[in-house]
Amino acid sequence: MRPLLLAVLLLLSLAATAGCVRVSPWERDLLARRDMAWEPEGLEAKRESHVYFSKEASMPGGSGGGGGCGCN
Amino acid sequence: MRGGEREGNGARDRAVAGEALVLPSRTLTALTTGALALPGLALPARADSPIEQASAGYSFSYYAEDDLEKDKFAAGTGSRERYEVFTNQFEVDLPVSRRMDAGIDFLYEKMSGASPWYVLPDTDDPTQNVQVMSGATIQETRYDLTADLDYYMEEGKDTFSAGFSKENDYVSVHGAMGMERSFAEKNTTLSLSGAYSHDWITPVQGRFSDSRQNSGEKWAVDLFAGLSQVLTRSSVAQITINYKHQGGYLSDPYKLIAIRNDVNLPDKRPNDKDQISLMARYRQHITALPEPFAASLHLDYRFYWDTWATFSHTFEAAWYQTVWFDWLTITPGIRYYSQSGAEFYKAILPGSATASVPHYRSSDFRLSPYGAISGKVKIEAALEDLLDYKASGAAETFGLSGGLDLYLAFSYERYISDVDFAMFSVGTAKEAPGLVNFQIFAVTLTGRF
Repeated sequence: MRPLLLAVLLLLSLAATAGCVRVSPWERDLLARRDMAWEPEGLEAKRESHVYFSKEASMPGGSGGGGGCGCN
Repeated sequence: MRGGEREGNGARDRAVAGEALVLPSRTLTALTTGALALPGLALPARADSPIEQASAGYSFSYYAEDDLEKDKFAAGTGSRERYEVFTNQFEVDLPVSRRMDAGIDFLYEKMSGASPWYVLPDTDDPTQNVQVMSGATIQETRYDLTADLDYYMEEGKDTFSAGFSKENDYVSVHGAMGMERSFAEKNTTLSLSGAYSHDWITPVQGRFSDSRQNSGEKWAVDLFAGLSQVLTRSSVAQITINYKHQGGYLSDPYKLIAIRNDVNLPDKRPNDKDQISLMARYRQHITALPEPFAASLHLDYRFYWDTWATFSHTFEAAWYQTVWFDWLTITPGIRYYSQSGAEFYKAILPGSATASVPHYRSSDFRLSPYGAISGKVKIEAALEDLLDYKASGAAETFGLSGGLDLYLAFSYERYISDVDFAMFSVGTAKEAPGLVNFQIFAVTLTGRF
């Protein structure tokens, strides 16, 4: 399963960088920006995720899953 | 339509007679085809310390599906007017103590329109299929309430959430627990969570179906792991994996599948399903732009696979362009999605009822192979430090800090799906005439106090 292999490789390369990258807390101004969040706006992310899983066969990935039943 | 072929064909007679069908809800369709997105995994994207200010948000959105095209519509069978949904969302987040904050999300929405029912060969061109629709008489209201609590410690946080969702024919309860731990001076963050949901389905009995079952139950366990890594001062990446097992009644009692030149049969799907979703996300802040401009690039990729033999790829990109410092942001975004069909998906079953029919079968377009492209634009104004007031003791307890920031956002999304957009070619026989196109308008107002 090629995508799984790809994901494992990505994961490993991420883990590998963990050892060598150090961004200090006082250098986090850009990373702390609102537009750098995984989901900058919670209500929007929840609504979108809900629409997609209602109309498509896939389940949401990441931590952006919406609640409820998928009725729309 | 099918003229004399309908003679003596009970289920179909009723089906194609064009009665005003009262389908109570599209809940089940979505439930059984898509995954039930586990709310417990919708852990709020908060900072790694408790929020210091109370915040409240409201969002209104209008979701409208295009009318089914005339050449894909089985004339005389209901309505081409598909779904529209008016959604109201509310959220409140409060600091509770030095180590805790809590949040409540409430959703209320009204849905109405017609829904795809089953597929027939076109009488003019039998090589093409057309969609039989229900009447545009579906009316449904959904409520969804979720509460969550975050407990923070030096190197991470624990999150608990619970909630329920309710419609006329459907109730779901869910709960989740999650943890986040940071390492290497918070350059690396590991997230783990688990969630459980249980749903009760009571299909409203209609006269157009004889074989609908009275009620059903389903449950799901969802496990999630994620690893985030700060790459540079201005970039961060994340890999996540979700595994979900669903058990119970996963069919759609409101859908049928036609046997060519014969009767219609109820939709029937396996009683369990395992799903895996892998996701990679990347955020890059663009530092090369001079003030007052700034930008952030968002790239997301998701691979999905399940034991019904469906897999999919999703690519998303968004560009957050600050137009005037952080006061005004314009964000164009694009999304591409492609899925294979479930192994038991068929638009129409070949053969006749006397021949053996597949044990599992569905004509639901959500289980068909196709691709979808959507484009989106969002404009957000941030009005910070609007007010300077003195919060009293009691108000301060609820996180009122003496300031007011307002965020106002408008967004528009257009979504188009088509077999020709699929990554891999799809034969005419597999093509679902009921594929959906829609648009969403939304306005969101958030305040921090």
